[in-house]
Amino acid sequence: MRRVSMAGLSSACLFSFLALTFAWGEGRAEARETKLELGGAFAGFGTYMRAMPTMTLTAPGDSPRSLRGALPSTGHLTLAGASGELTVAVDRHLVFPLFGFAFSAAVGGSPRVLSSIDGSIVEQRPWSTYMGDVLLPGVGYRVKEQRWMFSAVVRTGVTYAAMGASVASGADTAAASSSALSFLLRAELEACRRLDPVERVCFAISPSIYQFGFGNAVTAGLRWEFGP
Amino acid sequence: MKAIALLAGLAVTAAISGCGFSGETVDHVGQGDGAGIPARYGTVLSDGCTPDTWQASALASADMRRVVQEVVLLCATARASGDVGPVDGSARTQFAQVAAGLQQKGYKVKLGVQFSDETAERYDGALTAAQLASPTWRLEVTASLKQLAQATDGVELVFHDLPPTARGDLSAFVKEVGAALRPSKKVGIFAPPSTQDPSDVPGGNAFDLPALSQYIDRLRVTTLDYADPQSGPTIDPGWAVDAVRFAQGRVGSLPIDVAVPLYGNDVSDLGTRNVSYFEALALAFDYRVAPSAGPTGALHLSYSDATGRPHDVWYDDAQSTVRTLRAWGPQVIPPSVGILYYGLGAEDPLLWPTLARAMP
Repeated sequence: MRRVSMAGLSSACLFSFLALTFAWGEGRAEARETKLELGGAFAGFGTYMRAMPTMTLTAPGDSPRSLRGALPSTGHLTLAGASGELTVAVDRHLVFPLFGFAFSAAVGGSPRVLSSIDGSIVEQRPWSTYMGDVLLPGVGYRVKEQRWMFSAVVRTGVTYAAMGASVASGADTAAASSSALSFLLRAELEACRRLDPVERVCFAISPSIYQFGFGNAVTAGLRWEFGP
Repeated sequence: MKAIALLAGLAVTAAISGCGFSGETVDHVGQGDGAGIPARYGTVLSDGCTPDTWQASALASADMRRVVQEVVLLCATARASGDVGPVDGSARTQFAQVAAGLQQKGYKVKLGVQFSDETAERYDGALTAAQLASPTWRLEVTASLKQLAQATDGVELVFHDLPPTARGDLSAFVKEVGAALRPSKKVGIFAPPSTQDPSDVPGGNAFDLPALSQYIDRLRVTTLDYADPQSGPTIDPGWAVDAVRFAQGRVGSLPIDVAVPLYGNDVSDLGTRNVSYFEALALAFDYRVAPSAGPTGALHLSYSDATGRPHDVWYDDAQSTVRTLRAWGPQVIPPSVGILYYGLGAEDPLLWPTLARAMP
């Protein structure tokens, strides 16, 4: 059993402290005595994005024309992916998501979208979209009732999306790339059932407050969490 | 056990992610510049002195009159003798009547002049260059042209495959034609779609565009036969943009047209044959092949003829032509640049009503 306290800790050694604490097999703690404890989660999720962002196209060097410009939104898209993250809990109720990563890719059917940049016809392929999230710190609140736990978190992050594209050149096409970057702010609501003192399985739903636009996406999935 | 369940869950997620597939095609071309097609000065070229009944019907339609303001009748041929045909009185009278009829419909009418031999098929650039080098020949052609152009609003000079050595003589000829006809008649020239200097297309180096721009009223950039002599679409919208920009950089504020081919090409080892929209449809029907859209949206089909010779056909329908025009938004090609619709009668008949609806 590892007990930790914020007392005496400087911010400079916080990461070292967290790394030492992140021995999740040993991370069992009695909640009432916990001041600050590290946890983590892995999740599989699906995301519905209401409108894909306006992406920036960059034509390759071997393209007949040097092109760079904004492509129109390809509309809605469904993605599936996985994520992993670290959190820290303070006392019984406060929870601070720390850092994490998520990766997702398009699933299901999506239209071939034709557009143009500087006169050249461009084809976008939303079904080739992949998205990576760097999940940054947030803050949340949780309550526990016997084997159940409910929590609500608001967290920040950065989202990168990329989509396959090609530029027409007569009867030929030149492969190109398109991408977009966005600040991420989202709420995470989850209901968990404890499996043992440090593990629980959760259903989570995460509406994006901002992700390539306000209210633009919602993510839902199952999480496997470990920690106090 | 839990670790196995975790790994299984992640494996399932990884398996389904990235399993997207393509659905229908959505066309957003040109939407960044606003819906529709920018209003541009429209010219249609009819290959011949007298439009046939099909062409005449199209020219009489309200849709075409909304899209097109000017008609070029590619009728005249400059001969080695210095005459410009047609030379027969009856033919000239007929031509004048046709021009007057079109003018009554509200069109400006230009006389297109080709520099080919009497068959009007063979373009020998070296022969034309030799003729242009003769001041006497130039004077005779200019005088004949002035007479023939009386029934029209101007002339359009169409040269093919001129060698670079003709550069000075071509400028001298255009200067002489301009001096004889302007300002009462307009003078225009068709120039190859160069995108660089020295030119990257046959005949392009014969055109001293800065010099020529002093003697003409409009430059028509012939963005046609993009893939020639290979198989491919007759135009690539991005290539046409580059050609227009290059020309604009050479002629300043002179009005410019970019050409849009209305015909298609049937390419085999025998060469390239122009085909109309309906010919292409007939080939698809006869040889039981389904046309498919190429990268630019132009339609494409392949077939083997009765002798087993493979053919590639590329052509446009109303949808693909409209897509090309929408790709040329006002931010890409200024609205002052006009459109030369090349090859009246070969187009998808839905083109004119589709264009009329798409224009503001």
